[in-house]
Amino acid sequence: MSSAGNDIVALAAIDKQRTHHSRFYSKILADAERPLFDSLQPGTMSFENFVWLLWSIKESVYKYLKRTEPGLLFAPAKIHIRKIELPRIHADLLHDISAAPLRSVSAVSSEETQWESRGTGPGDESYKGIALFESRIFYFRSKIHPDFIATVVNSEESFENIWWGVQSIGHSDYTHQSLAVRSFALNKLNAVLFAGRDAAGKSPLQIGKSPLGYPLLLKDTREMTIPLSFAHHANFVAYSFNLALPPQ
Amino acid sequence: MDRREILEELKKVLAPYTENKEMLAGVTEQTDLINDLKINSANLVDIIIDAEAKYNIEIDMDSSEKMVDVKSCIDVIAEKMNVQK
Repeated sequence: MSSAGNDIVALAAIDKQRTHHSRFYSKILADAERPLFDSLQPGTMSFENFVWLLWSIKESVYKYLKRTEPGLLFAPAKIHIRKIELPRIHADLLHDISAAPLRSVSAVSSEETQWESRGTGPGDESYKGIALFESRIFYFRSKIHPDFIATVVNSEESFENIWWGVQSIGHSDYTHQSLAVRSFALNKLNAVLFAGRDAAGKSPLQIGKSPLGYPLLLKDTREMTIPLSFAHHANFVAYSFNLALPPQ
Repeated sequence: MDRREILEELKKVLAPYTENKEMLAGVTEQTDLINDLKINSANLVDIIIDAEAKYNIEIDMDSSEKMVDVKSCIDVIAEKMNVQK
């Protein structure tokens, strides 16, 4: 069964100093993962970004599984990251991360950022790799930006049907985050599902919530079979959904 | 320290990580950290570290994954405090 799992970490909201304490990161990293950082080319990423990258991957895997395994508990150190592949253009971007493919949404705020992607392609500059939980393999795509780390996971190697996006928001309270991520995802889903049609009518799409807490996509109040995942942290929200479009 | 005293101290541990102060004040053992107190999952490790310091205990991985609501937090803390004695 297909599912969806994503996560976002707002880097301004993490305690960088605390992240470096072994007492802290040992609750996130498995013993075998510390050498993964040492194996990265020096300057690739800071240790705190490494820890939070792995957190975001592990949280995404947990959310992907929780949908079908309600009794599952989140134990980050039991999810093992086995491989991190750097973005293709990473070497060129090491000291010029501002070249990351973000765009400014000037209509809302000159400082607001928004980034959206589907699958992989020429413009894809994600970190990629593999995570293992028990005997199951998951594939991840992560975006590391100066302000956030975002991850999406899939149980298949292809991300052709995975849509994901990140948006900054003006207020970090829970109510605002919740409204913002729903609106952000619905805008994308409406654009994808109803592209080319008369958009004059009211959208039939709504977001509901399952008894387990994950989001549900509803059309005319009936649940659609499009797995959806939301994440929010401080001033960032993120969505992912799994949707195969019919061939044109 | 009995369960009621552990709970009172636990409220102080949780306070920096929830904006829902009203619910925190009226917290019960059934209160869920994420769904009720709206604590961001990114702060769960902070809470474990702070609880370790507050109660002078060590919380291992198997115990920390159980700490999803107030009852399970108190269960784990009480168990670890007994081990310390």
